[in-house]
Amino acid sequence: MLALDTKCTAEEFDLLEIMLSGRAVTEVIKFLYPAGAPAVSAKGTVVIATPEGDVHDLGKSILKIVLIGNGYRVVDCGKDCPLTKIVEAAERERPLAVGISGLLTTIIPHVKQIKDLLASRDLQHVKVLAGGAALKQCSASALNVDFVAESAFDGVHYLDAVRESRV
Amino acid sequence: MNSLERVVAAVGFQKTDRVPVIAQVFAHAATIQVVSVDEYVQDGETIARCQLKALARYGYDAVFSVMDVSVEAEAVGSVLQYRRNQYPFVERYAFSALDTWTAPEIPDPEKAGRMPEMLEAIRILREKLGDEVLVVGCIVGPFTLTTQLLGLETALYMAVDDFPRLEKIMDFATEVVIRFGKAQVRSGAHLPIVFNPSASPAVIPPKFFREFELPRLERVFQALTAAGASTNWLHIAGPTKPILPYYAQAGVGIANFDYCVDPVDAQNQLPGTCLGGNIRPMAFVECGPAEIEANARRLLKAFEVRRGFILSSGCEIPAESPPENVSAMVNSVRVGS
Repeated sequence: MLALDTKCTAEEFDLLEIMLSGRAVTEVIKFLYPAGAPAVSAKGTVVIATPEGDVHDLGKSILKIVLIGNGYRVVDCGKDCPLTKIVEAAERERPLAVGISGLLTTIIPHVKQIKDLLASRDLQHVKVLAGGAALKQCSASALNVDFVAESAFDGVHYLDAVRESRV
Repeated sequence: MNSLERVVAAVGFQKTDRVPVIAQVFAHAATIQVVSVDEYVQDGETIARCQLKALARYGYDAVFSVMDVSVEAEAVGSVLQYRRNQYPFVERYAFSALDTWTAPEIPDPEKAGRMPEMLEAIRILREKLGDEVLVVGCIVGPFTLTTQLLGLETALYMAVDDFPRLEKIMDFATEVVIRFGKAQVRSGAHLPIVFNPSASPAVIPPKFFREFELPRLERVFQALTAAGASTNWLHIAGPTKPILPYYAQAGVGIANFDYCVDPVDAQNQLPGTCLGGNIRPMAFVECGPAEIEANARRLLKAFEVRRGFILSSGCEIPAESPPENVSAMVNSVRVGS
């Protein structure tokens, strides 16, 4: 995964290699933890979702692969996911961050609400990062999120920096 | 010079009275007529009516019969889900990695799924516009159709696990889009745009594109040219810089380039091919007319000497875009002429 992080620049991106790495990581985790992955992670938990109105979840799947490969625990709320489900997952899991991925511009009004919904449940410290074809065209302030990731690796770099600043 | 003549001249790098401008207005044409997107993509007459109204409103140089990227997949057997005011998406793929695969019959564009509605939209548009305005049909690229028949992840894993089968499905997909594209030309399209989002370097490596998608695109474009298409238009969004040099080999006459590709890089990569682009699509939603116009002016300046340019957005103009932003892009070519 580290090798792919260096290799997957804008001009050398290779989704297939990332997916194959993800498939290998999944098999290794299944082998190491036949009863399921541990509920805690040294690096923290990230709740991820593709919001309601968007069923294109490949970007989310890639983020999941890269997060797990980099030592994060991932709670995947799925695609076409209501905001209430995302916020409830954040309340339950107390994550480091919520990661939102989306292909369609029509989900932007939903994305803009997430930070405020988290704050309404005293989760204002939970970082919100966004990515995907539509969302990465916008600024963080326009989406009302903490960070807009150019790629899944970019998102992980941001989370690593957040962790370091809190340690 | 009318719109069609202007576009044809730009493709040939000839002098034009002004730079052609083509707004990639698809679902936006429905939205401004208060028509639900799901109704729009299922009815040829509605597409034609909304496209003609949008043309009258904005005055750009082309109309589109574009529905969405699942028309061919649905005709083959993928099951779509239609939701209110959204583009449909594949709910159940026609093919599976687990089943034995034999090529089904190539769908008849006059009968299968929504293909006849697309042809109807083209017939109406051409009847109304003749050779005044470019009438653009739409097919998807072979790999995009493959991913709409299998699912993107399944298709990519198949590239590793069972490549001979993937190639057979890509060959089948190639025949499907060729038959549909030829029917569109017969129905009056000056050309079908070839949408190929799954062939973007954001999805497949450039080497995969060059070795496996490019030869099939060549077959598609050769067939469309033989059928009478005015030129060939390839639309791949995302970071296409690494694959642009191959477009000329495929027979591309108009190459779309997205907002993330530098206009100078695009010109260097494709010195003899007309380029169309590349205002950031989301700018049409989150910015105002002044910023759209500034972006348009920057592009017009970048292509001032070269010619061979169509002012456009990098990809589809979002349906919810304020109309004054579309007008700002269109009007910018007139101000400068």
